[in-house]
Amino acid sequence: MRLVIKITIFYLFITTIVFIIGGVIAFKVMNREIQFEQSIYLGERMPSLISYLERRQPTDSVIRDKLIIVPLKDTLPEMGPVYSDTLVMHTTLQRIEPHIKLEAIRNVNNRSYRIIIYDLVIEPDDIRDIVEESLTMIFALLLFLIVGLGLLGSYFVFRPFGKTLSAIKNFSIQQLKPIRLPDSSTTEFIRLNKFIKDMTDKATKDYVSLKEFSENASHEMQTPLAIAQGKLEILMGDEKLTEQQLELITSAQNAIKRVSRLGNSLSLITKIDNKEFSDTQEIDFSKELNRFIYDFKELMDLKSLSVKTKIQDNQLIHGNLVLIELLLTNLLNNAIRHNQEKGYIDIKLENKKLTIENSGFPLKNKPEEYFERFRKGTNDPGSSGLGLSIIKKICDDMGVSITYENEDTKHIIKLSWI
Amino acid sequence: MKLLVVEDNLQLSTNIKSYLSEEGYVCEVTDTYHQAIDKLYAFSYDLVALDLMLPDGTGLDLLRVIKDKFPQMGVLIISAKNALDDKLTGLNLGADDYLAKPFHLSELHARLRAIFRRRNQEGNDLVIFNEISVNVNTFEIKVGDTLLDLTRKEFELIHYLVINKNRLLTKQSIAEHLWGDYMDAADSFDFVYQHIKNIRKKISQAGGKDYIHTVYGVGYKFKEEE
Repeated sequence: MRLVIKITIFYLFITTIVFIIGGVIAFKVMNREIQFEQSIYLGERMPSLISYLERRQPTDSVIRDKLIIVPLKDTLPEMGPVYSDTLVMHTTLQRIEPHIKLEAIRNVNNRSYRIIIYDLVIEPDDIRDIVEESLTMIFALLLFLIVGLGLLGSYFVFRPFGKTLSAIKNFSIQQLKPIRLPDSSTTEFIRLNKFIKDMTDKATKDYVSLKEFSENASHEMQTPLAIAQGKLEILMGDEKLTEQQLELITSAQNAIKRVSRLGNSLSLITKIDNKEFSDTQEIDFSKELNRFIYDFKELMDLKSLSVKTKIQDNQLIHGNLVLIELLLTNLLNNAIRHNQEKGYIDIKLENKKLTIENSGFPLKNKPEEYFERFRKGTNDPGSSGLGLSIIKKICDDMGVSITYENEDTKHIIKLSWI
Repeated sequence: MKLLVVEDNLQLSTNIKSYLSEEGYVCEVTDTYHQAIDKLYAFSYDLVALDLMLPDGTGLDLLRVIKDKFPQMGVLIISAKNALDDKLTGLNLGADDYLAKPFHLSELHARLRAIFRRRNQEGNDLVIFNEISVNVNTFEIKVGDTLLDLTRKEFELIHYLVINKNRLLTKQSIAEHLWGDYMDAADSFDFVYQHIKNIRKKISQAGGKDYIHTVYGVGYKFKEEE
C-alpha cells in the first residue's frame, strides 16, 4: 500500500474519532444553550402579562394559545418562576409534543394569579439531527479534499523520493559510477539521499579495493614463484646432483606451478564475479566446440578414450568469447582428466543444449556439491578443485542452466541455453 | 645475442641472466623504466625481455618507446598479469610474444630464440646439432639427409630439446611447452613419455644417434654421448 494512502487512512481514522467526540460535545452544548435561551424567552413574557393583569384584572381563567392564567381564591405568597418539561397537544401539528413550561404565582391588585406559559421546545432529537447532518457534510468535504488534494500534493512531495528509488534500482556497483540522486527540499529526503550516496560511494570504493586486492594478490604471488622456479631450474643444472635430489627439485617445481595455477583460477573466479567479461557477441558455439575437441584430440588419444560427437551446426549463442573458451577448456579438461584409461566421452550439441557424458570414477558425495570451491573427487594433486566451480560461475554469469548427474561410473554434465 | 632484461625484481633478473649467459646470451639487467631508457639509447640490443610492472613507469610505455625508436629490437613481455587485455594490448603494440610468470627458464630461452630467429631471417633458419638439423621455417627435421616424418608436436619437442641441449628438461616444462596451460593433469607426463618414445624411434630409424637421456622421475636431457 502506498505511503500516502496509509497516511490518509490513518488521518481519516483520527478525524472520524474527533468528529464523533466533537459531535457529542456540540450536541450537549447546543442543547444546553437552547434550553437556557428558551427559559429566558418565556421569562421575558412575564412583564407584559403582569401589565395585562393590572389593566383587566380578570376574574375568570384566561386560556389562550400556550398561556393559562388562573385567578386564585386565596391570596398566596408569590412563587416562581419554576421551569419544567411537559407534554402538550400541539394545535397545528395535532400531536403531543414536548414543551417547556413556566409556572409562577403573582399578586396583582391584592389578587393572586397562577400563570402558566409553555412553548414548544427544540427537541434533543432535532439538535442531534442538525449536528449529525452538518458534521457529516463537513466530513465529506474533508474526505474529498484530503484524498484529492493529498494525492495530488503527495505526487509533488514524493517525486524526489520516487526518483531516488529508481536511481537505487538502476545503480550497479560494477559500473563504478557514483549514484546520481535528485535534489529535494524535504529534510527527510535530503538526509535519505545523503545516506544513500555515502553508502553507495563506500560500497563502490570497497568493491574497487577488493577487486584490486584479489587481482594484485594473485599477481604479486607470481613473481616470487617465478624466482623460486628459476632458482630451482638453475640448481638443476648442477651435474653433481643425484637423481633423488633432482626428483625433490621437480616436485618442488610442481608445487610452485600448482600454487601459481591456483592463484590464476581464483583471480579468474573473482573476475567473473566482478562481471569483467561483459562485452558479448554472437558466437557460433558449434564451431568453437569442434575447434576445442580438435585441440584436445591428442590428450584424448593419449588416454585411449573413445570419443563420440553429435554436433548440430550453426548453434548460435550470445556470450563473451573468453568465457566460452574457458568454459569449453574446463569442460573438456574435466571429462578427460577424471576419465578412466580406455574410457569414453560422448559429446552432444542439439537445440542449444550441450550434453557431455563420460566414464570416470564413482563420486563420494552428491554431484552438485562439486560445484563448490575446493571440492575434490580425487586425491589427484594436479586437480585444483576449482574446475567445476569455474564452470558453474561461467554458466551463472551467462544465464545458462547446468546440471551434473552421476550414476556409478557414468558422469553427465548438461548445459542448456534455453 | 644481446638481451636487455627489464624486470623490477632483481632476483628474477639474476636468475634469467645466469641461465641465459650459459646459453651464449650477452645479458644486461635493469630494474627501472628510466634506467632502461638510458640503456636503450646508449647501447644496442637484439632482444628485450620486459616486465609490465615497473616502479617508475609501465612496461607498456617502454614498449611504445621501443617500437617507436628501436623497431629492430624483439620484445618478449614477461608479466605476472595473465589478464587477457594486458596480453592483447602488449601484442597490439607490437610485442613479439608474451610469457606469464612463473615460467621455465628453458621456455624463456626457447621463446627468445624464436623471436630472434623470426627477426633475423637472413640465412640462419637451421638449428643444427651434429647430424640433426632443424629447419624452423619449413618445420622439417633431417637426420643426415633423411627427412623425418613428424607430427607438429614431435617437431616442437625435438626443436625444444635441441635448443635447450645439455640442459635437464623436466617433464613438466616439456608438457607446458607442448600443450600450454591445457595440460595440468599429472598424467600429462605419460604423454611426454609417449612422445619421447616416438621421436627416439623415428630418429634411430633414420640412422641418428640417441641423444635423449632419461633422468628417471625427472625428465630428459638432449646431449652428446659421453
